[in-house]
Amino acid sequence: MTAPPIRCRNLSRFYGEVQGLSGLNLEAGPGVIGLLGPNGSGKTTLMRLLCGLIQPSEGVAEIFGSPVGPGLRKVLGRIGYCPGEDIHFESERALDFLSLLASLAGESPASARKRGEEALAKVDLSDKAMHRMDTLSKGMRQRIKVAQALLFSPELLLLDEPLNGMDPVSRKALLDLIQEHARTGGTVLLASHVLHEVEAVTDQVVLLHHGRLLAEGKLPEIRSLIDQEPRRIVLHCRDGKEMVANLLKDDLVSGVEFTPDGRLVLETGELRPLLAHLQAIGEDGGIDQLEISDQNLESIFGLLVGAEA
Amino acid sequence: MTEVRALGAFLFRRKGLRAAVIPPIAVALLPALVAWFASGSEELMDNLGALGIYGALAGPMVLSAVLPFITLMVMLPLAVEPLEKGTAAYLLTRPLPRWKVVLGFFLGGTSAMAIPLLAGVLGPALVLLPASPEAGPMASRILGLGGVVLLGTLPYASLTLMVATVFRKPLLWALALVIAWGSVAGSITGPLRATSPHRYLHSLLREWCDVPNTWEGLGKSFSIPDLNPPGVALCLVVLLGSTALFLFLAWKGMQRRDIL
Repeated sequence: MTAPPIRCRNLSRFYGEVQGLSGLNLEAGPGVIGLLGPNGSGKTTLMRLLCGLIQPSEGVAEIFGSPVGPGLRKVLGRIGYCPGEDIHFESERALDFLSLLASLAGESPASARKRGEEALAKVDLSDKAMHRMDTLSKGMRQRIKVAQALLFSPELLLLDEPLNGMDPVSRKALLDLIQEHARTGGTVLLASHVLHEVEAVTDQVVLLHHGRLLAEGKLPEIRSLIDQEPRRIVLHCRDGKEMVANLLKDDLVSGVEFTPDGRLVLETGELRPLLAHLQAIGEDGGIDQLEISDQNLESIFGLLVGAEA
Repeated sequence: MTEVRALGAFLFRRKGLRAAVIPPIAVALLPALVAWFASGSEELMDNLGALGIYGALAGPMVLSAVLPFITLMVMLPLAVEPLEKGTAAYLLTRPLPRWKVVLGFFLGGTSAMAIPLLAGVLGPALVLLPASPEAGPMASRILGLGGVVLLGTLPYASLTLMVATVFRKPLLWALALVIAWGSVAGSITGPLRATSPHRYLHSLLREWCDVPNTWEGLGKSFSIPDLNPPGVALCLVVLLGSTALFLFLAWKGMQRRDIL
């Protein structure tokens, strides 16, 4: 049986008293996996553990079946890692930097340079090859980081907040590149706290919070879990009392609140029937505006965290 | 070893060329300045002559002051910056064994130290050459001092690399080990002298630059004598052996080192 690209067993990392990651059990890949969580949730710690930059305090991380540690070097050629921080060898030219990294994998100088040029072309920065890093914009520096991860077209890409600072066109290009990588059998672990970006390329997600696994799986499955939780809908309507009476009669809401500014806040465990009902009433029924704050991934995350707390 | 050469060349370009090399060269030229003043002193010229000033005055200065400070100015930032700023992540996530990374750092660091140290060795000679009656003996001393400095670069660079990979406060440890234990304890009489690589460098300096192993006062001798001076063979074994040991410890440190 083929080992999954990523496997963690009881993986923990502590920074003194601070918990970076705690007891993570995870199997992931192939395909694109969104690694979601707010700052400090353990995404970067997990990335660093997976590519051997830090050592686990407890547990094991495996890449393609090889435990992270001294033996990891064998599989490092199959990994491309893009760090989350904006760090570079500042005074180096983009192509020199990429050529060096290619030559560290044993390439001859000419071949390393060619690799560097190809990687720059992948992120559409060929015209900046001879520019020093410290003269490039943040978005360009971000693309250089992605380029170095792509140098050898690795099977597993570990991308830590790769879209930070990128302009919309570059974002779209990188997201396309990620999807293309997954289509050809590769694996991408994409860490982000900008959730709609992850949602654009995958429905397979891992949610971390305070170093712990909060949820894992397909986004629709997580959504269905969330659908069982009470949800809040805010309505701007002209005759709320009559509507509320009808909703309570049909058992579609479990809580009602009239706010001082005239809004009506409904709490429900039956989101879909309630939405269908409200849609049927529409403007003719006096509803001017409807806000559902929990329709995106961000609110799902918030609800999960709230549920856990 | 393509990877080691590539990494070494990259680090050499960063710290051994461009503007980065100017401050170390300025420090390395201090013995030349001292030699220039000394060559103007009739007493010193009568007592030591140009050859004596080069061997007995400039030689110990280059060895005990320039070499350790150049090590701290060049090797320490070269090794510490990538580890502390996190840029080492780019190097350590390549399919490259960490001992090769250590060797690459060592190669880059020693190469980057070479240019200022060459200035330190040649500077006083150029100043003293007009006052030197024969070029041959001066050339021999230049080669002698050059050889000692070259051999001294190896343990000091590897020691600094070890400090950078193993310790959390590398600057403090480097000052303690390179300056206090290396340069100072290795130059003065005391229990630590035999443990310091500097003692063996001094012995080689005496052998190769004709520096007296006696204390004859500040006008004639500038290094504290060693009552049981080690021979050349032992010096070479100790210097090369300590280099290998420090590199080994640097490798162990690099394996355990977290890149945050």
